[in-house]
Amino acid sequence: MKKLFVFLMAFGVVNLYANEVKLSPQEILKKSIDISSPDTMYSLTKQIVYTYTGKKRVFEVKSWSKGKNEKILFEYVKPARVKGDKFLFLKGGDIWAYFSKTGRVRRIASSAKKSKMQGSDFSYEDISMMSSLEKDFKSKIIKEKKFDGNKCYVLQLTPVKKDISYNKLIAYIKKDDFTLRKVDFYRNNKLIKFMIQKDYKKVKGFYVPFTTIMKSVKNDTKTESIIKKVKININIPDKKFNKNSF
Amino acid sequence: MRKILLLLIAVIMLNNFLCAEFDINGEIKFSEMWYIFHPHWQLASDNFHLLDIYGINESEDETTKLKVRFQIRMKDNDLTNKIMCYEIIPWEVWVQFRDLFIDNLKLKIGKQYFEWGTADGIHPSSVLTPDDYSNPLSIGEKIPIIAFNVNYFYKSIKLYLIWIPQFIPAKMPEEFPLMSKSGFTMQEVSVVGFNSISNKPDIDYKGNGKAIKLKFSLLNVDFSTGYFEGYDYLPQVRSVVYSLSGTNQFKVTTEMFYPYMKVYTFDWTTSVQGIGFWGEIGIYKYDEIKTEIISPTGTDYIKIISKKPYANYITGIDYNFESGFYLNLQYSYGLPFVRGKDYLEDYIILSLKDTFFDEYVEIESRNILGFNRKYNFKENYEIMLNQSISILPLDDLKLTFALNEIDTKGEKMLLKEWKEYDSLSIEIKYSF
Repeated sequence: MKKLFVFLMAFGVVNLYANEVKLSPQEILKKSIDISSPDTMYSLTKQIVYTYTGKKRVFEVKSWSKGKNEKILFEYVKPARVKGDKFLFLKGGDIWAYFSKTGRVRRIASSAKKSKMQGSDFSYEDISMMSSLEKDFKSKIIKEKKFDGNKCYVLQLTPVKKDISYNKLIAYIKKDDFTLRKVDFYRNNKLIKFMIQKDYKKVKGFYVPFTTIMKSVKNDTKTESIIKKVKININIPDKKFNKNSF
Repeated sequence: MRKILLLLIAVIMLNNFLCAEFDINGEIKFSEMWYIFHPHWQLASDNFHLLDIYGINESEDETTKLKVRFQIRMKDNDLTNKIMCYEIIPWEVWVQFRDLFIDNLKLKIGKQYFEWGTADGIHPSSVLTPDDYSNPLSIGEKIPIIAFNVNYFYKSIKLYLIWIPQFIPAKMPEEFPLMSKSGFTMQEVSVVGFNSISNKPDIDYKGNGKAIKLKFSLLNVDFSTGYFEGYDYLPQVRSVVYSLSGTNQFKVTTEMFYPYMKVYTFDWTTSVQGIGFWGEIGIYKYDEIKTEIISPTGTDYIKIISKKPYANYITGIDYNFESGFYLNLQYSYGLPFVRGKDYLEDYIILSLKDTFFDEYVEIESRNILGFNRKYNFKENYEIMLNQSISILPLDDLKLTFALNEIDTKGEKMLLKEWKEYDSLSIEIKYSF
C-alpha cells in the first residue's frame, strides 16, 4: 500500500513535470496570445507620450480588432489636430492611413513602418507585428526568470520574415496564467526599447492588460497606454476593416 | 429635373441637420506673408486669417453622417489695396448614407471635395473640384462643390459615380501674375494683366459634370482609373480686342469662357523594398480652342489647345529613413493649373523633411526645378525654393515660418511673372 502510494506520488510528480515541460516555446507563445486575444475587441485608450524634455503629450484612441488581431483599426479622438485620423493594420503587414482633414487614404510604405506612430514610442511595425507573432517568429525558451515578482518563461523570438526590423524579441510570459508581461525589442542585437504590460483584468474570459508601457532606451522616452473602456466579442462587421469604407 | 434634385438635396439635408447634435471642432489660422520685391527690397504684406469650424454628427450604427463646415475668412492685401475684408462661407455641407439599399453602398449628397488621384501633392487628374488661386497664402486649395456621390465597394474594388449638377469655376488671382488658366494665353497676348480683362466669363450654371472611377488592387499595386466630362473650371481666352482709345492708346477687351472637356484619368501606387512609388496621369481632350485677336490692323487667330488629346502626368518615389528623415522625389510634366500641350513644362520636385526634439520641430524643404524640353535649358529654367520650419509648442498649436524664393531665366517660362514675388510667411494654427 505504502509502495503504491509512493509510486502514485512519484507518478503524479513526474506527470506534473511532464505536463510542464510538454509545452513547447511555440505553444507557450500561442497560449499567451490566445488568452488575451478575443475574436473581436473594442477599446478606448488614453495614450500619454512622455518626451525626453519632460513634456507630456496626450492622445485618445479608439481601436477595433477582429480575428485575434488579424485586423486592427485605430481612430484618434484627441487631440483635435489628429481627430478622425485612422490607421488600419491588416494581416500580411499592409498598413493604411486615412487623414480626416483631406479625406485621403494612403498606404504606409514599408520604410515608414519603423517610424513612430504619432510621435509615440510605438512604431507602426510594433502594432502590425502583434497580429502575426506566432507565424512570423520562431521561439525558444532561454530561461525562466522572475519579473515584477512573477515567475516567467523567457522566450527568445527570432523573425522568420525578412522585412521585420528587429533581429530578436525577448518575451516574458507569466508561468501560471501565460500573460505577457514584458517584451524587449532588439535591433542589430542592441536593446532599442521594451514594453511592459500590467494591470491585467479578466474580461469575458480573456486577460486584458489595462496598462501598457513602451520605453525607448536610446531616447529615454516612454509611452503609456491606459485602457479606459473595453468591449469583448462584440459584433464588428468586416467592412469596418476595409480601407474602401473610410 | 435639376431644380427638383437640388430641392431634394436641400430637403434631405435640412431634415437631417435640424435633428442632429454636432460634435464641434475646428481651426483658427493666422497667416501673414511679406513679399520682398527685388532689387529695392520693398515689402508688401498679405494677411489671411481663417476661422474654420466644422460639426460632425454620425449615427451610432454609422449609417448616417452629417458634416457642416463654415469658414470665416479675413483678408488684407497691400498689393490690391484691399482693407480687411470678411467672407463667411458654407464650406462643406453634406449628408452621407452608408449601406443604403444594399450593403457597402454609400451616397454622399451636398457640398463636398473630391480627391481624385493618389499622387503626392500634385494631381494632374484632379479636375472635379475647382481650385482657389485667389489666396496666395493657401494657393491651390480645393473649393467644395455640390455633388451626388454614389460609391460601392466589394473587397478591394471600389466604384464611384459622381454627378455635379452645378458648375463652379476656379477662383482666380486678383492682382497676381496670371499663372492659372492656360497661363499662357495671357502670355501669348502679352499685354494685359488680369485687372484689364473687362469681360469675365459667363458662368453657365446649367452646365453639369459627370465622373466615374474604379479603384482596385492587384499584386500589391493599387490602381484607379476614371473619366470626367464637363466644363473646365479654368477659363480660356475667346477673344482679345485692341481698340484705339485716344492717341497712341489701346483699350484691350478680353472675353473669356469655360471650355467643355473630357478627361481620362489613371493612377497607381505601390511600395517595393520600402520605397514608395506612384504615378498619375490625366489625358485631356478639348474641342479646338483658338483665341481671336482683333486689332485695327486686322484679325488673327492663335491656337491655344488642339483637338488632339494630350497628357499631363506625374510620377514619384519616397523613402523614410530609419532616423526619421523623409525624402520625396517627383517628376511632373505640366502642372494641374496649366492647360494645353504647348504650355506644359517639365518639373523636378525634391522634398526633404525631418523632425527634431521629439517631433516638436519639423523642418521641410521643397524645391522645384522647372524647364521646357523645347528650349535650351541654360537659358530657360525656373527654380522655386520653399524652406519651412514648424514648431509645436502645444499639442494643438503649430507655428510655421517659411521662406519662398522664385527665380526664373528666359522669357518663355511659365512662372516668369512670379520672379519678383519672393516671400516670407508665418502661420499660426490652433486646432480645437
